Amino acid sequence: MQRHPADAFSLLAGLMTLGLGLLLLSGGLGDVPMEWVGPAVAIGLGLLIVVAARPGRVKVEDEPARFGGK
Amino acid sequence: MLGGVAGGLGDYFNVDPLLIRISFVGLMIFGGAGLVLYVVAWLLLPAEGHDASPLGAFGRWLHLSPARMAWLAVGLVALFLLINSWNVGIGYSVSGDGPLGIPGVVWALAIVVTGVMLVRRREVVAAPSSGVAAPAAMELPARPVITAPPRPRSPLAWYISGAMLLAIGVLAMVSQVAERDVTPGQFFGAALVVLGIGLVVGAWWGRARILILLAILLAPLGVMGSFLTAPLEGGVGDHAFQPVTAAEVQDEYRSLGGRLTLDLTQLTTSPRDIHIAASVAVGQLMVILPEGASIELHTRVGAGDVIVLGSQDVGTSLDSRFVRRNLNQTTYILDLEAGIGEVYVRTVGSF
Repeated sequence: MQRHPADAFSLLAGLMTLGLGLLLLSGGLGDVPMEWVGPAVAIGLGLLIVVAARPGRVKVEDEPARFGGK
Repeated sequence: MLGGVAGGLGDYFNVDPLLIRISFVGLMIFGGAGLVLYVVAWLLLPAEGHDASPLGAFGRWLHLSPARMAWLAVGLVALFLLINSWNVGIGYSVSGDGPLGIPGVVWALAIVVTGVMLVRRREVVAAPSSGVAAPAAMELPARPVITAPPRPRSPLAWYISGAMLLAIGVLAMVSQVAERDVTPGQFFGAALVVLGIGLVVGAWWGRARILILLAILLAPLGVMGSFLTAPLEGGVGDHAFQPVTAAEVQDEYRSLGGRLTLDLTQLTTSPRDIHIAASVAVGQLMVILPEGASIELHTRVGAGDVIVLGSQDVGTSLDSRFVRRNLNQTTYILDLEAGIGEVYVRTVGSF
């Protein structure tokens, strides 16, 4: 696997998935007030869209030499 | 056709198209979601040799840029589905039925993410590198298309998929060895932990963005699964029991899904206490008691509501007890549980 520039979209999605997974694995979801689920989903989705749509990203294809690409 | 869409997605996500095909087939289990996602992908992805998807071509006809077209569609559909799910309360929107029986929030999330994919895919269509764009180049039909060089396929998605199954299998074995119950939500949690770690790794090494879609599908299922604390036993459908003698009373009544009705009004008076454990994993558990009966109730509901003799409680992780004693009456000691749904205890004649 090649190293590439940091992909904030994957990072954010991964951290959100990891957090939910740990919560489910610990069995502690029953203590979470369900009225916060909707806002939490909206905030997470909003962050993902902002990260995905932000300008000025550098693609690995643009700078292959910098990251060891061919 | 399946190969075309799978190949296109494989190129985009930089994963083996075989993984995409397996995902499509696997998603058929979820009420045909795979077919719907496939049609959405077919609408959004350009065919090989074409610079516009069918939806993009329609947008050109309407003189809308692909990005505006995508955001417009995504906004309208997501808004509709979220408002639709809001009708049953945001706390329960994760379990509210949407098209094909899939919760509306799942559809909304899937469509929004697909829209983001479409917009991002458009960024591969690069502007002229000279820095000065000719006016003609600004017009969509005449824009030169420079395709990105193919990237080597990343095996990361395969590694994560394998690790996910390994984690689930190991957790199941540990629960067997340690004789500890593991809820469906915890299995989903283990899968999501591995997925999350894989996506974090993929932020710097390899690519595994296709697994974000899997995470979006698994997350609401995991949330629902975490509330399935009732035993996953019994059949599915509506079942009613009306024992007449104490000998006919079973120690346990179990249902996996549906409505389980236990009518104790015809039961002849017994000198001994009647002990019953009843549960419904998903659905309604109704118990009808004789008027004035002595009762010791213990009710538990993962998510839903409990109605005991006219008193209602709604929420998650509900755990309550109710005791009423009358002299010279048979005492019913009931342990009632519903994972997602309702426990309803009433006397004959009351609703």
